[in-house]
Amino acid sequence: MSRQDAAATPMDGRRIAGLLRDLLPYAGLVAVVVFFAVSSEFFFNMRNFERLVTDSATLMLVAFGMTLVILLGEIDLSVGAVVSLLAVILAQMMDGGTSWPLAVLAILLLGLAIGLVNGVITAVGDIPSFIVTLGMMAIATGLSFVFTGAISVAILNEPFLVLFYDARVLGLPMPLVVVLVAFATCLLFLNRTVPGRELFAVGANPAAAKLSGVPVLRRKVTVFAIMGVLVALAAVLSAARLGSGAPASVPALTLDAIAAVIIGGASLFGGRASLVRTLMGAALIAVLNNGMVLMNVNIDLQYVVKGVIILLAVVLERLASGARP
Amino acid sequence: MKLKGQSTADYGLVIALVLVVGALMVMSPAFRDPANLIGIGRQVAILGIAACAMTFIILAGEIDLSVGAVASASAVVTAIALASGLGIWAIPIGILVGAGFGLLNGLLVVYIAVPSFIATLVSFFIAQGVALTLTGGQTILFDADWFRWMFATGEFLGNRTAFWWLVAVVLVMWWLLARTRFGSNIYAVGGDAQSAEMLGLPLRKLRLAIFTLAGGLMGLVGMILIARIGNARADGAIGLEFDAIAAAVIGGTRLGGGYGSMPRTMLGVLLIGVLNNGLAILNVDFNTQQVIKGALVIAVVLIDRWARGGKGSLA
Repeated sequence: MSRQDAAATPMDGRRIAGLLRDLLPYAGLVAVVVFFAVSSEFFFNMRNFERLVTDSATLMLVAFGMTLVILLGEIDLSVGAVVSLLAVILAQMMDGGTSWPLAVLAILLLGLAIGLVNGVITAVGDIPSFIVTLGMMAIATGLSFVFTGAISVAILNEPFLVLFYDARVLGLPMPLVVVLVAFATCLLFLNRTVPGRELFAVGANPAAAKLSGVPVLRRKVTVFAIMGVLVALAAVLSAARLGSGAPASVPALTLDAIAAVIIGGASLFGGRASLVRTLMGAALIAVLNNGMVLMNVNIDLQYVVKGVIILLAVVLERLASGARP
Repeated sequence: MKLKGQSTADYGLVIALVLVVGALMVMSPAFRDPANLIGIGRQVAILGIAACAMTFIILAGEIDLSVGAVASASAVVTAIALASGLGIWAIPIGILVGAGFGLLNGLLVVYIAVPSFIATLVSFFIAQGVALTLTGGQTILFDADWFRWMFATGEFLGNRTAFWWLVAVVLVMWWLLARTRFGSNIYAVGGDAQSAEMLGLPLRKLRLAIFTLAGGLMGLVGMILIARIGNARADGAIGLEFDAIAAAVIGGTRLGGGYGSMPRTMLGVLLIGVLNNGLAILNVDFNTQQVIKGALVIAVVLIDRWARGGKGSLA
C-alpha cells in the first residue's frame, strides 16, 4: 500500500528512504564484511566462514520464523528461552538413554506444541502476542533452570553430535543444509502457496482480510506453529554445536532474530516483510557477532552497535512508510 | 460500559489476595510473623515503583520493555559517580540517565511512530550495552553510607527509607493520575487515541512526558537497588520489566490502555510480593516462582478478556 502511495504522489524524501531501507541489509552486510576483512587477519578465510555459517544456523532458523510472525503484525519474545528449554530437555532425554531419533522427534513435537499454545492464546484469546510470549518466556526460562538446577547437561551421544554438526551433505556442513532447506521451504510457503500469500493480507489489514474470506485466526495459529517447529530445529542444532543443553537467562537470540527481521526492512505493523532480506539481516548480525569476537572488541559493546543499527533500520522503515513527522 | 465485567475483575483480585495470604498464614508460621509481613513492604519497594511507572505507560496504550535495563544502567552510572567522589551530584546524574533513556523511548514513539515494544527494545539493547561496557562485567563498589541510608537502609518511622520512597512515589503518581488534567488525559489517550487527538489533546507532549517520567523513576529504582546492596552490577535489574508488567496486569490494568488505577496496581504489587515472599518461605525456588508468575500473567489477561465479554474483531 505504501508503495502505491509513493508512486502516485512524488515524494522524493520518502522514496529515497524506501530505497535506503531496501538496500540497508545488502549494503550493511557488504560494509561489515569489508570492514572486518580489512581490520582482522583472521576474518577472510574459508575456515572462519564455515564457522560463521554453522554458528549462525540457530539464529537463521529463528529469524525465518520471526519474519512470518512480524509479517502478521505479531511478535514472539519467547524464542530464545524456548530454544534453551528444548535443548535442555533434548540433552536430558539422551542422558537418560533415549535414542537420538526419538529424542529429536519429541523435541520437534514439543516445539510445535509450544508454538500452538502461543498461537491459540494470541489468536483465539485475542490477546497481544507480546504479553503471551513474554509469559511463555518466563515459563520457559524458569523451567529450564528448574530442570537443570542451573547446570548445563552434556550430550555424549556421538551419532547425534556427528549428524547435526560435523556431517556433510554434498560437501556442505549439516547446519547449513538444514538452514537452506528451511529457507527454501519457508520461501515456497510464503510466496507460492495460497495460505502463504494470505499472510500478507492478514498482516496489512486483518479486518479486510477477514471480510475477504481469509481464515485469519487459523493463519495466525499456523504461523506460530511454524515458528515452534523452527525453534525446535534451532534447539537441535544448538545442542549439537555446543555439545550440551544449558539454561540461559539473557534472551540474546530473541533480540538478534528481531533485529535481523527489522534490518531486513519489515514493517513493524505487519503486512510487509521479506525472507531474502531477513536472511541478509541475519547474516549481518552473524558477521558482527563473529567479527567482534575476532577483533577482541569488548563483547558488551555489540549490544550498543546492534541497538544503533536497529534504530537506523526502524527510522528508515518509518520514513519510507510516510510516518507522521 | 461493561461495568459488570470490570467489577468481577476487581473482586477477583481482592479474593485472590485474601486466599493467598490466608493459605500462606495457615501453612507457614514464619509467614504470619508480623516482622515478615512488614518486611514484605520493604521488599516490594523496587517492584512497586517500577509497576507505578508501568501503569502510566500501559494506561496510555504503550508498553516499556526497557525498564530493567535502564534501571541497571542508571544504577551503574550512579555507583561510578559515587565511587569517583561526585557525592550528592550522583543523585541527579542517576535520575538523568533514566530520564534520558525514557526520553529516547518517547521520541522514537512520538516522532518516528515506532511501536513502543520495538522502541523500548532498542533502548533495552543500548542501556544493557552501556551498563555492561561501563562495568566490564565487574561489580562496582562504592563507599557512601549517607547514600545508602537515604535510599534504602535508613530506619525512619518504623520502616526502611526504601519503603517510604515507594509510599511517596505511589502517592504522587496516584494524585497525578486521579486528580490532575495530566492524569485524565492519559486515560483519554489510552481509551481512544483518535478521539483524544480530535479533541485536541496534546498527544505528543503527553507521550513524551509519560515515557520520560517512567525513565526518571527507573533512575530512582536503580539508586534504591544499589543503596540496598551496596554495589552495582550490569544485570542488577534485568527482568524487572516482566515483574512490573505482571503487577500492573494482575492489578487489572488493561493492555491497550484506558483502564486501570494506582490502588489496583498496588494490589497487584502486593499479590506478587506476597507470592514471592511466601513461596520463598515454603522453599519454592526463584525459577519455579518465575514459571508461576508467567502462567499467572497469561491466565489473568485471558480471564480479563473473557470477563469483558464480546468477541474480538476477528473471532
